Amino acid sequence: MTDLSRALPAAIVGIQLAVVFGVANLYPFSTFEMYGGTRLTSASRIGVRVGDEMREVAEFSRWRCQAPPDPSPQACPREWPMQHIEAIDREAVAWVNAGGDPASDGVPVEIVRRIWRWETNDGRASVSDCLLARCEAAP
Amino acid sequence: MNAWTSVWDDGDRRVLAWAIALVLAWDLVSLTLELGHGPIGPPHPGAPAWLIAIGEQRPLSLAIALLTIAMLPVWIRRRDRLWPATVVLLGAGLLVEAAAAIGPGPWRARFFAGAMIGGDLLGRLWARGAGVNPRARDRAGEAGAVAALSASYLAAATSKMVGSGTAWADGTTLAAVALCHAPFGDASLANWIAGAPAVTRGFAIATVVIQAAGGLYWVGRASRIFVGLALVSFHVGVAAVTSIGYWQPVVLLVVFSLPWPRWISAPRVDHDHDLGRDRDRATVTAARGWRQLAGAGALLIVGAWALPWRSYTSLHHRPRNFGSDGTSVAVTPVEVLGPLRRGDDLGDGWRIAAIETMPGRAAIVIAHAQHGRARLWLGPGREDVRPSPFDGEGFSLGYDRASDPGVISVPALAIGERISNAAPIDWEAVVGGTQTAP
Repeated sequence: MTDLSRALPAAIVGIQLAVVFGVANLYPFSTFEMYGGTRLTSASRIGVRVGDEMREVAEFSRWRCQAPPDPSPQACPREWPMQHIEAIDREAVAWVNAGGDPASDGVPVEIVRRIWRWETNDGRASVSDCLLARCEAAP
Repeated sequence: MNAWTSVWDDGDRRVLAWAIALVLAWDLVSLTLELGHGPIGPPHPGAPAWLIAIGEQRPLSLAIALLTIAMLPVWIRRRDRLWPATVVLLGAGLLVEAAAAIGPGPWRARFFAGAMIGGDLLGRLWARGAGVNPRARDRAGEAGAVAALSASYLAAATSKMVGSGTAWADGTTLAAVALCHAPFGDASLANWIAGAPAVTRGFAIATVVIQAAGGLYWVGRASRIFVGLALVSFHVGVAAVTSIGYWQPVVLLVVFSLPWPRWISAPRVDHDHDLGRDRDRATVTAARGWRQLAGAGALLIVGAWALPWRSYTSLHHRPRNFGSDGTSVAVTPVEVLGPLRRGDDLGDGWRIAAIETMPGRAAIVIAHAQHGRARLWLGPGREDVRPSPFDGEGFSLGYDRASDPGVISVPALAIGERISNAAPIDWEAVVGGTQTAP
């Protein structure tokens, strides 16, 4: 077997790390901090509240809303700031806006941004909902 | 023993190259399909027009994807050459960055194959300089590729520790990420772990430990197998809890980490006859290989730090203001801004709940048990900013129209007093020095 020193891969690890922390995230180099760049104390997602139950917007395909839901976190000024994933929020609202009319099959639902917040040291989150739109929806 | 060994020492390393190529082709196909759906949000605020054009013009992105995929077999045959790897990385990089520019940021599962191609290239650069035989060049390429994969996980662990410190281990960040991604429903794993702080803490600690162990992935056969399997388990666990599937590195880890040539005959080769033939020569000329690697490494590192990449890339994956006017503003949560610190008591029951910097200004979020939350906009004082009763010498302190200035006057005046009495804030460093009217 050809003697290849461990120094070679060790050196390449060093080069890659030095480049990664220089550019942060530029293909194909990344710090891969994956939300670890700062401590998060809140989370949020857009969903559908039917009575006391939370459901995914994808469980409904037809919608009639009093006003289009706003994916912007500023739509919830009392709760801002909260962690949110822009792409997921936009996808949820785009799904609602693209749906057909529920005709007479619709049931009353609320599209809400559900917010979890960790403000105590016991590790448990408080939960609140911010109303984005009242709608009728059907599967 | 300082000699590097691999689970693929009896194997045909073209299989490894094909694995990387297939993962990259998968990335390019999925990227092209994704770009075909159009922008999913406002573009990156600093993205150049040509990059957005690549993302938005389907024929252009399709042409780049097809050309890059067509180059992959060329790269496999000519991995010792610089240009095929460069063309592949350039094509894939353009598409990944174009998708990141017209969306909320890059999907970083797509970075692994490219990183391994880069690592392979660096290993081969050393081997060419050292003048070793083609088999040994393949070994050096493999060593470089696994080193790049290893460095990716070490960077992930390091950035978490640097960014969140030991606070990562309290588990709230992990629970927040899980809940932001996972489906609603009491049965979901994300909901379960979010309600079990001890479990979340355990997962958070395990995440950093396994990713840090990834830094040993390159060392030898045993570390490759054990660390590789741990990393695969980690990715599967993350997918189960958060629905975030990093399947590209999983495929690469499964192929690279296990001794497939020992288990099945197809990827096995008998190359004892030509290995070792140039051992002495490699020893003699290794210095030239090191010089070449050092030169390439220095070029990459200087390019990474001397050019202002971070001012662009740091705006990816940040919480953004994406209001109805279509603007997309990166927001960076910070603990301290001048004399203000998150959690500070401002009097009358108000405290600082969050501090966020963004281009042109900072948001100070204040909270009160009865009055709820309000937002104050702090920035360098300028004449074109709507005046506020809380402005002071050299700074502006505005408030949202929804806020009642009478209700927030105590905390706003407290913030103003602190700013006035403290050393001047370096606005250029904090928010870029410009000002946007609230």
